[in-house]
Amino acid sequence: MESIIQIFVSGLTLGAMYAVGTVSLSLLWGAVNVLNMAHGALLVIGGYASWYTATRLGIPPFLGYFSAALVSATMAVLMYLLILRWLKGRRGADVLIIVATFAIAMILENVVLNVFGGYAVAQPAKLSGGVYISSVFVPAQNILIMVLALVLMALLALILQRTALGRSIRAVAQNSQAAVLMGIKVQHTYIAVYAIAGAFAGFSGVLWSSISTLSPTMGFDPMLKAFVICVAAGLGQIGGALAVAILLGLAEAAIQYYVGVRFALPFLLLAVVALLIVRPQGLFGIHGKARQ
Amino acid sequence: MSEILECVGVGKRFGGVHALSDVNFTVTPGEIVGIGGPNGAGKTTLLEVITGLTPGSSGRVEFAGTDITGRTPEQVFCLGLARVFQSAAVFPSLTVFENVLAGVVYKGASKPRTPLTYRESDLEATRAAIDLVGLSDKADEVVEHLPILDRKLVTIASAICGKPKMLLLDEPVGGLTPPEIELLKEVLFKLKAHGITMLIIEHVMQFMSAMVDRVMILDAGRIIFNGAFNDMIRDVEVMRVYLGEQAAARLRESFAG
Amino acid sequence: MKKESYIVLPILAVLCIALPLFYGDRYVIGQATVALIWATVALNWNLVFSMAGVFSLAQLAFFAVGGYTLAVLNGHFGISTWIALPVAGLVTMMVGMLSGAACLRLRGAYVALLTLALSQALYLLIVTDTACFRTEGGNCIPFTGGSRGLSRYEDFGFREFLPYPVSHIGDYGLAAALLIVSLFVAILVSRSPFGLGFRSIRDNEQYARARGLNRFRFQLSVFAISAAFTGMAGALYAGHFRVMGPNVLRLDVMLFVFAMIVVGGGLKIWGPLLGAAIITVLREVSVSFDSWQPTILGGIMLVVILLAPQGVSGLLALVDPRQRAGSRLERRKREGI
Ligand SMILES: Nc1ncnc2c1ncn2[C@@H]1O[C@H](COP(=O)(O)OP(=O)(O)OP(=O)(O)O)[C@@H](O)[C@H]1O
Ligand SMILES: [Mg+2]
Repeated sequence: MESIIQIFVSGLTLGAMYAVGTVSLSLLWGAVNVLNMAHGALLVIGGYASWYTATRLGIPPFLGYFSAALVSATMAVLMYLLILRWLKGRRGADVLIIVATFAIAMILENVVLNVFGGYAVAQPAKLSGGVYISSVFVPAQNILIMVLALVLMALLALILQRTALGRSIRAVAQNSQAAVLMGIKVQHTYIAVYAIAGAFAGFSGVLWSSISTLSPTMGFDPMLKAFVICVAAGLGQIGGALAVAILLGLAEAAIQYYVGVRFALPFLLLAVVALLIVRPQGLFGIHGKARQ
Repeated sequence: MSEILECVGVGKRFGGVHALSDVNFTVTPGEIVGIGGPNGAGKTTLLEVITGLTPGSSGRVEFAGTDITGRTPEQVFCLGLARVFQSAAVFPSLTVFENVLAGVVYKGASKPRTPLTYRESDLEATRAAIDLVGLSDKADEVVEHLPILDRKLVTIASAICGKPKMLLLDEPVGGLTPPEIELLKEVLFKLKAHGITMLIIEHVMQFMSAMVDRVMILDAGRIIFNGAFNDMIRDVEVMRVYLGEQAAARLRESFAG
Repeated sequence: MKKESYIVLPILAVLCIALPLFYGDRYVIGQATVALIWATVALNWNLVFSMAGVFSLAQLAFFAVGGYTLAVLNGHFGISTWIALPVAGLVTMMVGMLSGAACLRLRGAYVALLTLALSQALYLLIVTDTACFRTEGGNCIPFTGGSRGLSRYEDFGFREFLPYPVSHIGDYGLAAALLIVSLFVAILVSRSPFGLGFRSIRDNEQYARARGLNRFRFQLSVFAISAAFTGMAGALYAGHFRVMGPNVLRLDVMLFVFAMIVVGGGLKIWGPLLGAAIITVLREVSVSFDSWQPTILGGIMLVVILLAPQGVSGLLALVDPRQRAGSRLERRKREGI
C-alpha cells in the first residue's frame, strides 16, 4: 500500500511536470508545424531567469515563475521573428527548422554556461515542508507542482476553446492559407503561439529545477521526455499528450521503484520506438495520407 | 474477347464518406474508356483502389487474368498497369531522362536487373518513350523548371516506357490551353495506335469525345452511366448531376450526328 | 543530389597526399586525421539525408557502435584491431539496417525523434553501465567502460613498422583511404540505378511506388552503406585515440558534424567534405575562444541556413551559369511571376 502511494505521488508529480513541458512542444508542432529542438534550452533559460530574479534582484522567489515565463516567452518570440520566420515555405523547411532550433539551443545553453557557470544551483522558487499521507511523506513542492499544472492546463484550455485568440490558433493549425482568407492575422497568431509555448517551457523549467537542480544542461532530459510523449500521443495532439504525460509519469515511477532508476528512460525510449514501428502516427494521431 | 480490367462490387469508405459504392465495370483490350463526373465523385479514388495505393473496403479487381485486389502499387505497376497522376506528379530534382528511366529500371522485379549499371535495353526504351512524347531536345533538363505540359508528357513517358498493357490517366489535359490539349491528344493517339488500353478521367468534353470509345459517368461513388459518348450527352441523369442543361445542349450541337 | 562526376576523387586523393608532403607537422597531421574521420561521417550522413531524404539523427550512434566494437573486441577479447576494423563496419551495418527498418514507416520529424531516442537510449545505457565485465589490476572494467569509457586496448600499431619521423602518417593514411573509398562508393551509388531509385523515392514517394520502386529495399540499403562506413570511421577514431567513451553521443558532437553538412552544403556529394575542412579550420582559428565554440558554431550554422541554404558548395555552384539560370527560374516561379 505504501509503495503504491509512493509511486502515485512521484508518478503524478512527474506526469504533471511532463504535461506542462509537453504542451509547449505539442502546441508548436500542432499549430505552426515546428519541431522545437530548442525546447530544452527554453526550460534552462526559464529556470535561470527565476533563479536570477530571486537571488540577484531580490524579488520574492515565487514571482520567479512569472519572470521565467516572461523571459522564455520573449526568447521564443525572438527565435521566431529573427530566424524561423524566414525558413517557412522553403523547400525542406521542416528539416531546416529542426537544424536551426538545434543550433539555437546550442547557443542558448552555451551562453547560459558562460554567464552563470556550469555548477548546478538550487532553484529558490520552491516550497519546503510537506504532509503525510498515511506514512508516506509528500513534499509540499510536489503538491504545488500538481496544482500549478492543473491551473495551467485549465488556463490553456480556456484560451484555446473560449477566446478569439484560441479560435485563430485553431484555424491556423488546421489550414493557415484558409485562415488568411478568413481574415485572421496569421503573423500575430504565430507570435502568440510562440509566446504561449515559450511561457509554458519557462514555467516547466522552474518546476523541473525545483525538484532537481538548475544547470545549463538540465533541459535535455525533460526535452527528450516531452518528445517521447508527443510522439507517443501523435505529434500535435495536445489532449492526447496530456494523457500520455500522466501515464508516462506513473510508468516511470513504477519502473524506477521496481526495476531500478537506470532503466526507466532507456526502457521508455525503446517502448516508444516499438510503438512507432507498430503505429507510426502515435496513439492518438490520425493517419493523414498525402494525396496526389 | 475477354476483358483486361474488371471491377466487381468495388467500394471505398473514408470514415462516414462513401467515396465508392458497388462499382462494376469491365474494359476490353485495346479499348479507350473515359470517366467523367462532378468533383468529388470518386474518380481519383477509383484509380487509387485499382492501383492499390489505398486499399478498397470491398469488392474485387482483376487485371489481365490476375486478381490484383490488395496488391501493392509496385506489384500492380509491374503487372503492366501504369497510372498517370492527376497533378502531373514528377520527380522534380531529376532530369527528364532520369524521370522516364525511373519508370523502367525497376519494372519486373523491385530491384535493378543489374545493380550498378543500366541495361542498354532500358536506356533504349527510355529514349524511345521520350522521343514518342516529343521531349528529346529537353532530355537533360531538370524537370522542376519545365512548364506543366512538358511535365505531363514526362509522366506519360515514364508510364509507357516500361511497355504497360494498360494506362490509367487522371485528367491528362486538366490545366492545359487548347493548343496544348491538341498536342497531348496527338501523343495519346499514337499510344492508341500502339494498341495500349486506356482508362481516362477527364472533364474536358471536346477531348473526351475525340479520344474515347465509351464513357462512364460517376456520381457520389456510383456509376450512373456507362455507354457511348453520344448517348451520354443525351442522358437525363447525367445532364442533371454533371453537365447541366445548357452545356449538354451545346455539346449535342457540336457533336450532332 | 545530382549525378556526380568521379573528378572529385583524384582531387581529394591529391590533396590527401599533398598535405603531409608540404605540411608534415605532427599536430597538423593529427588534426587532419580527425578531420578526415569526421568528413567520412558527414559524407555518409548526408547520403541518408540528401539521397534517401531520411532525416535520421542516428549517425553518431552508428559511429559509437563502430568505435565500441573495436574497443570491445580488442580490449576484452584481444582480437587484432585490423580484424576489428572491418568487423566494426559489419556490425554497424547490421545496426544501421535495423534502424532503417525501424523508421521505415515514419516521415520527417518522427524519424528525427525516433533516431534521437535510439541514440540517447544507447548513451544512457552506456553511462550507467557499472557491472564489472572483467577486472584488470584490481580495476573493475564494465563491458562498455561506463561513463569513463574504454581505454586499455591497442591502436593500429603503425609505430612498430613505420620509422619514427613518419610514424604518425599511418592513421592519417588509413583515414584518408577510408574517406576516398567511401566517396567512391557514394558516387558509384548515386550514378547507378540504385541511386536513381533513392532519388526518385525521396522526390515523391507515392509516385515512385506507382513506378515500381519499393521504399523498403532502398531505405535499408542506404542505411546499410552509410552505417558501414560510419562504423568503420568510428573504429578508426577509437583506434586512433585509444580511448572510446560515450561523449561522442553528446548533442554538441552531433551539432559539430551536422555543421559540416550545413556549411558545406548537402546538395553536392563533396559538400560535407568541404564543410569538414571549413569547420576544422574554424575550430583551430577560434581555439582561444574555446568556451564560446558552441555559440560560434551555432551562429555560423544559422547564418548559413538563412543566407545560403545550400551551403558553400551551393554558392560555388552558382558560379556555373546553367545552374544560375535554373535557380533564377525557380525563384521566379516561387514568387509567382
Ligand atoms: N484520403 C481521403 N480521406 C478522406 N476522404 C477522402 C480521401 N480521398 C478522397 N476522399 C473523399 O472521397 C470523395 C471522392 O474524392 P475523389 O478525389 O476520388 O474525387 P474526384 O472524382 O477525383 O474529384 P476531382 O474531379 O475533383 O478530381 C470526396 O468526397 C473526397 O473528399
Ligand atoms: Mg480527381
